[in-house]
Formats: sequence, C-alpha cells, structure tokens
Amino acid sequence: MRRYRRRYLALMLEGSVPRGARELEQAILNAIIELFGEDKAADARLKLIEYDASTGLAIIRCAHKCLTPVRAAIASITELDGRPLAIHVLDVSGTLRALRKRLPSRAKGLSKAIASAERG
Amino acid sequence: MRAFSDLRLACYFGSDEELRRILERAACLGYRLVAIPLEPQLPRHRARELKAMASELGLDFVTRTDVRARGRNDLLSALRRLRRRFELIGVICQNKEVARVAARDRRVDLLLFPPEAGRRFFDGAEAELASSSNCALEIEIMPLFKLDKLSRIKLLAVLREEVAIAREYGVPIVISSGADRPILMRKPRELACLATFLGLSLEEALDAISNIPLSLVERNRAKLDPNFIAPGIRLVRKGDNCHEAI
Repeated sequence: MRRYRRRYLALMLEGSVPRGARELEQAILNAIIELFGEDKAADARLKLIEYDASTGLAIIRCAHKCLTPVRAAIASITELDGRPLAIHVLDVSGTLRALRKRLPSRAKGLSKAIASAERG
Repeated sequence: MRAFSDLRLACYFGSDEELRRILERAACLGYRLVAIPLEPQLPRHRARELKAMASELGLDFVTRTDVRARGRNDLLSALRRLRRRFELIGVICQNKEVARVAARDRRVDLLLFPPEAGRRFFDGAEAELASSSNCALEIEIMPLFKLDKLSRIKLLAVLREEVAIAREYGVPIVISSGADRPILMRKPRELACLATFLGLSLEEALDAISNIPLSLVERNRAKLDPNFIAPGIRLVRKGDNCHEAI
C-alpha cells in the first residue's frame, strides 16, 4: 500500500486558548465534522503533533488531499465553550523538520500583533 | 505574487489607536489592500489621514462607503452625492427595488445582501443587470460563522445558488471577511479556503480576494483621476505645447 502524503500545519491560537492538547484536537475535529461531516473528518487523518498552551503554538498533521477543508474548518472556529478563539495557520509544510525550522520567523509578526490587540 | 485584499473590514473603531491596531493586524495577516466602510459624511481630510496611517503600515487603504437606501430615489440621490468622494461604493440591498436599481447603475461597485436567507435578491434577472453594468457581488464570510446551525445551513444553500448564478452570468465575485472584531480576521488563504465552501474552486476563491477587487479599485481610481475623460480616454497633456508632444 502506498503511504499517503501528509501536510504539517503550524497554528497560532488567539483568545481563550484551550488548556490541553486534547481539547484543541477535539475543537478542530468538531469543526471539520460540523462543516464537512464524519466522512471527510476520517479522510483528513488529523493528528495533533504538539501544543504549547503558554505560547499558543501548535502543530497538527493532516492528509495532503484534505488540506483545504482542514484549513477552512480551522478558520471557521470562532469560539470554544462560548469564549472567543481564533486559530491562524502560520505555515504549511510537507515535513516536520522544515516546518520547525521556519516557525520562529513566521510566528514573530503575528504574535506581536496579537499581543498588541490583547493589551488594547 | 498575489496582492490580497479585504474590502470589508466591518470593525468598529472609536479612536485612531483602535484603527491602527486593526490595520496592523491586516498587514500582519498578509493583506495589501483594505477597506473599512466609512461614514458617508466623512470629511476628505480625514480620509487622507486614514490613507496615510495605512500607508505607514504598508497597506493601501481604499475609501469605501456602504449605502443603505430605502428606495430608488433614495439610492440615486446617495449615489449622486457620494460617487466622486469614495473609491468604492457598496449598496446593501434591503429590498428588491433597491437591488434592481443598484445592479443597473454603473456607479455601484459592489452589491451586498443581508445575511438572512429570505432577504437576498440575487437571481438571474439581478445577475444579468449586474453583469452588464460591471457590478460585483460581494460575499462576507465571517458573519456566516456567527449564525446558529440552522440559519447557517439555509444561508449556505442560498449563497451556493448565488455563486452559481454569478458564474453563469459572468458577474465578478468579491470575497471579504466582514469581520467586526480583530479576532474574526483571518489570513487570506484561510478566507479563500472558507470561500471554497460556497462552491468556488480554490483558484477562483483566491481571485475573489486578490485580482478581482484589485482591478475594481484600479478602475475606480482611474475614473476619479482628474485626467479621466471616458473609459479608454485620458488627458495626457494640455496647454500650448500640446501638439509638440504628439
């Protein structure tokens, strides 16, 4: 069987970020199910690779063919348990190594803008 | 590389500082062209100040106003008053009469409809009028995700039909966020991915947030230029030495 192609997505969370990784994975999965149904959710092969609640950075993995629906579902999340939440896709890569390498530079600008908005 | 635009940031801003934060966010998310619906009576010097502020952040600020007319006469008088003052004019079509007049009028750039499934009047006749007057259909994405599940499903069905009609009649589609808070603002690619949900391909969705709005703004800026005479005719030089240049 041919190994399916994957995409790794670096995410930055804004607002009331979930405390646990499981909560975040559930929120993204729920958004996919809500918009595209269980069939697409299964195709997406979503997996949370890492999550740091203190910085609001996360990395997830999904099937290459489902990148657009996964991005759409992530963008559609506007709240979690009634509290506002936004998830921005910082970068997409085919390998985890390349994504990790680029992550600091990609996160810099947006994290500054988010911090400024939260101060205001 | 595409220059992305969000032509309808519906964020409320009370002070310049709040506006700067919104613009900073837009710049940071990767937009180059932004517009916030402005009050029709906004003084010209204030519009220039807003443009300068956006320009400092590397953004091109488009002056835009949205007309909420009750009827035909109301709309026509608003267009007469506002057309030369704003680079973009959107009409929020709250009834069929306004929708038809707006679609027929060349001074209208964008047609908007309320986010309730029963109050949208974009049908074949409307699309035919809009297509002949180069009027674009604007669809806001983020308000869709503030609705409850049932209303969202109903609205999605209507929006998909509208997108199909617009495609059939060649009406340009402009996708904007319609975000009323910075937390609802999304990156251009994410906005395009959400727009695929309406039946657009990813390429079409990307065009709807980059090339189409850009050409709309460029066309209007050319028209507002004092040297503009008619489409395709522009005053290049005037005065005594005019014939020498030719």
